Amino acid sequence: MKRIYDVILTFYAWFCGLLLLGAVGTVLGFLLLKGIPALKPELVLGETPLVDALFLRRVVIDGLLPAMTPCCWS
Amino acid sequence: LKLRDRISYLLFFLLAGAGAGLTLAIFFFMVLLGRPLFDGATFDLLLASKWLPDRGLYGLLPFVFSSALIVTCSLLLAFPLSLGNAILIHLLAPRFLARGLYRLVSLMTGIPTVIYGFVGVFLLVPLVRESFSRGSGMSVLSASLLLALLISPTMILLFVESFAAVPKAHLRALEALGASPRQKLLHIILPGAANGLLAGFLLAAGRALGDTLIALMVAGNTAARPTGLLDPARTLTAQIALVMAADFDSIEFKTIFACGIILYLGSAGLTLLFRALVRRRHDPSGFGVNP
Repeated sequence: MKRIYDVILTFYAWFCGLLLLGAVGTVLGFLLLKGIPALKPELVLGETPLVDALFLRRVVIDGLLPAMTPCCWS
Repeated sequence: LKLRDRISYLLFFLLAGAGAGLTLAIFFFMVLLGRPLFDGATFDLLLASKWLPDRGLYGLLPFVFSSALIVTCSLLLAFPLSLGNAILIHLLAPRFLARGLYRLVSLMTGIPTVIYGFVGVFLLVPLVRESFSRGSGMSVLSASLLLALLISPTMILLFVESFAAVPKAHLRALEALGASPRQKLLHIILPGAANGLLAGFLLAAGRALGDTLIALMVAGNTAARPTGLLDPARTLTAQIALVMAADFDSIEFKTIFACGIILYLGSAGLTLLFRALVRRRHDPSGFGVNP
């Protein structure tokens, strides 16, 4: 009987571990699946060419950069 | 005491006082700004069972009930999950796997709430809608599932730390007697780590109570008392966010201070409850292990 309780405890702990891994894997997997195809320079810089943005020749208005800069400061 | 010690003592005392003072100042700020709500007639409006600002009803009870329901459900889901993971990490898993799982859980604490929220909107909400064929899927159940995932890392880390604080000598003594992992857990680890378990549980409860984005994005935001797990609901935090975004000077707006006071008192109540339970709790192991 004691042996059965040991097996139940082991099963419960591993089940919880797999459940958590599955949940986190689903969240991260969904993000990667939907996010990776969008990872291009245009995502960050919009219409502004990379060289112009790097040498501060043109202001970046579109893309994520204007939203990312305040995050870096804070 | 030497002069240097006295200065250090005074400095730390002032810093601790400033921290406590800031917390109290926030409370008094909310009471001060919400003061017009606390005269007799307006206060009665807050106790109404419905939130219908157009008809002059500003009842906050549906939001209090929704918050309590979502927090309770998420804790009921997260506690067994977290305990199982803590047992796996501390007791059962091979060393490399335990270390990897612990790091993953630590990483999870850094995932922003909004990520859980929008993954919930695109993945969990349609799943709940199609599984139960009722409502939009934005419900107490969806919010509770996501909140359970959000608060689990907090609980797991505190549980594992409190398990690790149990004296190794007692565990070795039990091992020498041929005890199984279950016996070590039931007779030494759990009794010795009970304060840590309680601390993790209440800290996670506070986090679930204070979370805004998941409830706002996934719970459905209906300003009525939910009658079941598949009903939409609006929590106190979501109510504050929604009213602040739409209004700035009316009784409706002032009710956000009442919501803030209820949340503040709820969190303070949880902390006081924890202290009272720890003080009263008889420690059967006699270890006196503190979180």
